[in-house]
Amino acid sequence: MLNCRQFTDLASDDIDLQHTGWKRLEIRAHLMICRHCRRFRRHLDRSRQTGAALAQQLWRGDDAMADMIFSRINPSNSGK
Amino acid sequence: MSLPADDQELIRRLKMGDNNAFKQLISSYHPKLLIVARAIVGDVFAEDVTQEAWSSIYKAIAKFEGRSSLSTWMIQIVSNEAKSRLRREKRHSSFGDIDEVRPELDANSFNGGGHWVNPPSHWDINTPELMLQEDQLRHCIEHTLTILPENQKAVFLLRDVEQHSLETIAEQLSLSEANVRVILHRARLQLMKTINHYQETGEC
Repeated sequence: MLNCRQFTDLASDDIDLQHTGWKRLEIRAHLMICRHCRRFRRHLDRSRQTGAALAQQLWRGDDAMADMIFSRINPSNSGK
Repeated sequence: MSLPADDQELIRRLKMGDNNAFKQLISSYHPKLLIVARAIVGDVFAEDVTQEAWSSIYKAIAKFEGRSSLSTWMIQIVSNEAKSRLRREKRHSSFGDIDEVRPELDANSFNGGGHWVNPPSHWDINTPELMLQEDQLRHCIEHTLTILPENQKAVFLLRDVEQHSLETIAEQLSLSEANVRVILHRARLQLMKTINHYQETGEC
């Protein structure tokens, strides 16, 4: 029977649907009886979603960066 | 595979040789390609590798067939450039082999039987939408994303932002799938710890 510590190690894989068969059943059974692990999974999933939404904005370039890189690829057309 | 309408329009313009569309592509993807390059080849060569990748993308874009998403295609190109540079420099990947021991939460979270002693606390701000409206929390998460180790940043980017499969990510970064899963879990745990700390204290 899975304990809470073991579940927290498997939580990301559970979010990514990496478990099948018996392991998946074991996880579902544990989540049915453990509200703390349900909360842990929910928090991990929301952290992932929030981090991804922010990363999408954070990891973007700007026009000046694009102009500079493009000018190295194609010096003759950098201003067009 | 069908591409999103925005992607299709951008690809149409790129294939017609529209340089403004290409600059738009650079603006959207350069920091992401840089993260992937840095994870494979290290900081010293990453800028150079990414510039080479942009040249390759520029030359090849007319032949892009849309069998994968534009993102997957470009990341494959930067990944190939980075691996090739790595071979030329005869260096080992900056990733190396990571231990496959699972990341752990604080040891005092559980008792000897593996059950919670300090269970997760309730979050008042409990949806991504609400979290993104909190300026201070945004700042905390941005800081965490910025200081994540390069391998965690790359895996988090490829999985949770670009939504590539674990198998594809493993191939792109020359890692085993098991390693990708461990690294991804570490990145997500780090984000969760940051958010949890803010929810409990109101500080980063």
